[in-house]
Amino acid sequence: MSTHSQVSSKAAARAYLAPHTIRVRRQQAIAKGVIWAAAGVTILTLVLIVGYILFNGFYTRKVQDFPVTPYVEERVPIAEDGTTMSIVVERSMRIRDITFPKLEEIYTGRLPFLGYLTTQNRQTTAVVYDGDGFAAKAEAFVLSEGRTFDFYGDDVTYAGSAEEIQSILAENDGTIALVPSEMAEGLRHGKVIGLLQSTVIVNPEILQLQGGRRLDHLKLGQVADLISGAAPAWSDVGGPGIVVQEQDLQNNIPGVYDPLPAVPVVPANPDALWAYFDDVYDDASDAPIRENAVTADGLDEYINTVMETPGAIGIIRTKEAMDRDLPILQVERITHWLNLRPQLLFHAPSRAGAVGGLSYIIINTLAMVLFVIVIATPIGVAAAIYLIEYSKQGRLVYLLRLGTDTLAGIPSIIFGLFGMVFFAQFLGFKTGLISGTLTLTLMILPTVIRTSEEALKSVPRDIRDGSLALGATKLQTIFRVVLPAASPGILTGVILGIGRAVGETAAILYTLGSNLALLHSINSPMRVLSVHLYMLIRENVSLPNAFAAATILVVIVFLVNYTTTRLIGRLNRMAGQ
Amino acid sequence: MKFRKQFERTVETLFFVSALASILSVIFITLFILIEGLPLFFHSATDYPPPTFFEFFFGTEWFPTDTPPKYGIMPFIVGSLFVTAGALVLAVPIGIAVGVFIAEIARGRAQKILRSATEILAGIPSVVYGFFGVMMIGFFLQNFDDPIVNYNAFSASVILAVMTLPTIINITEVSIRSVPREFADGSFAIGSTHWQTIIRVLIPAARSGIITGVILGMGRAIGETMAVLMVAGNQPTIPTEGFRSRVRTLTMAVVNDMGYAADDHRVALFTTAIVLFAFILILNLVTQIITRRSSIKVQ
Repeated sequence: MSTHSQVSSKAAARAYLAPHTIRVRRQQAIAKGVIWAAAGVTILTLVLIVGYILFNGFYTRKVQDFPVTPYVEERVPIAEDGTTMSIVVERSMRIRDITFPKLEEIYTGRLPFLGYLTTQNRQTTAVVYDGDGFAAKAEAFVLSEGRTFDFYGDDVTYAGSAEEIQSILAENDGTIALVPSEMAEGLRHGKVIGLLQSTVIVNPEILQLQGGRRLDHLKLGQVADLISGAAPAWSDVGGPGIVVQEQDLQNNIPGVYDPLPAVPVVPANPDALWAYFDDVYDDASDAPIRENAVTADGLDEYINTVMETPGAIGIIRTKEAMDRDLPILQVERITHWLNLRPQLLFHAPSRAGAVGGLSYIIINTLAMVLFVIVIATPIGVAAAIYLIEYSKQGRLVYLLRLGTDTLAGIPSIIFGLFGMVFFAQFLGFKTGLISGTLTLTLMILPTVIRTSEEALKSVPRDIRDGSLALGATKLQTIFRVVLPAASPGILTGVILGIGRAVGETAAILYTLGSNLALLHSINSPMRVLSVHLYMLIRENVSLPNAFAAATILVVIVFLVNYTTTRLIGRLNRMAGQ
Repeated sequence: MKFRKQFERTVETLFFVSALASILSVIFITLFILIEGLPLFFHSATDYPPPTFFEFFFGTEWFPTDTPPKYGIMPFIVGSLFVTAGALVLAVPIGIAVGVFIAEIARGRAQKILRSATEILAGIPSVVYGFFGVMMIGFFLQNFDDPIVNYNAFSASVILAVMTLPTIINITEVSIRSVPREFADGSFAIGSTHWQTIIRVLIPAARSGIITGVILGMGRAIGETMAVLMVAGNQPTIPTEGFRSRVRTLTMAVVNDMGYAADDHRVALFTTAIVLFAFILILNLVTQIITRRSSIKVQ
């Protein structure tokens, strides 16, 4: 039989289909399409939620405005005689560069907690090398004229030798040191970080409010565009124009503006400032400056030119801009880093979870899970044994099943209230581990009971009869024969229970507490992953850490799903044999 | 031998006591919530008279810390029912469709993937759903003018729909599967197509199971706390702007104020919890009745 004849007979059959049949088939096709779409929506929702959480859990991208451009200097010239300074920090610190304003804060004693820069739990230890007159040069570079670090208190340690700095680096994990560049490379326990100290200054008019808008920051590429002429006018980057007609809100007259050209101001001598200009371009070697650029000689004239030329834009050192209170245009900077890394799991959280890791939280969660399993498993399995092995079907069993069903349907917040009133207050356990785990035990009991019941039911009758026939008592039969055979099913129930307990929040908010401390006694209030996640979002403490916590929770869900599927598969295979 | 028997008896009693644990818990929970919540109507800590039943249930103003305090939980009841209805409108069609898909249409890998997807959706903690909701709202607020996805009833309904979906899918699938094969065979034998069999035979036969699933999903939606708390806007007034209105549900009212509430305010929260509990018990009772009546048993 050739395919040809089959095709033609099909075609012939279609030709004789009744209109009704065609309609039915079309309806069927549409209906099946809708159903496939619904299935697609379900999968898509899951992928979207899980993908979003996991992606952000492992990778963090942050867009922030800084008063400096991202031009990094590792060897900073600090004096006329060619002395260069490097900034060295303790090696494990999560920081690659530091802005000049932050450096100034540290060396004037205004940033005692370095963790806000590194998201680690570190107290600042500021050090400066004091030899060959280096400290004086560093002071002149960082502070206003004539000041010393001592002027702001004794926060800064003067170290006389490389060995001394090395020992401070080894002892304090929040050490930051200003040293001559020649010394920086040789310091053990330390690493060199860059300094960001070039700032975009503009003519004051640029930052004025116009038509209800104000230019508050530039993207990095926009700085280059303004200087090279790719963005000829300020309005191209969201800036102001030359007023032709003022906006009149009362009479509803829109403002009319002519384009205000951007005028780069460049130094006459290609000195250090040139480097800043070069760096805002992608191609640093041959940076074009637009034709209408104005040149200025010397710092004072440079600044004056920027302040007086309409539409002027220039780049100078942050310190000079801040000292003279010049109009600074912030520049956007994108940073990204690996979020959920081993350190996050092993370091202690601090400052409400804003810095440090999740170690306490994870240990607390494990302790809670352990307690819940230890309490819930025996009770749940015993209940299932009674229901399956002992009870005769009847009113009592119906009532017991009804109890389990009802318990399964009670919302977690009710469990939370009950736990608070009964365990914490009435029984006097206070808010803490015991109250929390007992509340959770009640919550997961139905899951454990039901799954254990199913597991016990699936054990064939013959096995029991065989055991009994050999002279074993009922109890011996249950413990030596039935329970081992049903153990994968029971384990499934316990794992499902763990999954539910780990994710629960409302029931433990007021029974387990939310103290950000490691559990130290059986009664101590403590915070677990789910509550930590909630607190981090509610108080807007740290989004990356919230994503990390959510990621761990999602991973637990996957683990629970994977193991239970495997266990059930094993159980089915056993039953099949 | 006698000792042995006595031991067996003791262990059996232990098993029995364990079996009693769940029903005892239900009784204790009911009892303690009632004890904590009912005094609101009979005793007042302030000079003002305690609220009447009517004032409590139908009052539209919730100012528990004012003088005189006002305890009207109508906004919360309406809020709860509103977001739950919204969630069901979204979740029921999709849930039933997917349940039918897994039970009847999908084969092999598609079936496996969807079943795991449903289980994982059911396993994701509500606080993670809430977190996701918050991030989505942030995204929409940043990129659109006055988006519908805001801290309001719409977002809460969508999140709740995703959370109730697994319940509805699962129970639909199970109840369609438990329809005896003869029904479908008979339908095929008289010349119906697969689709006609599904729509005219299988779904009607599995009706009671599907309804049970919807009611269970409803119970989950009404009782859900954390996810709703994070996205619903938390405004204790009767919703007037449809899905754009910020709402506070019964559960949100309880968890939101419990941290600081004292005296009558605290009691009123327990009274609110009684109302929530009553809702859930009624839903449970309905499912019990449906399951007992139906010829096809659903587990």
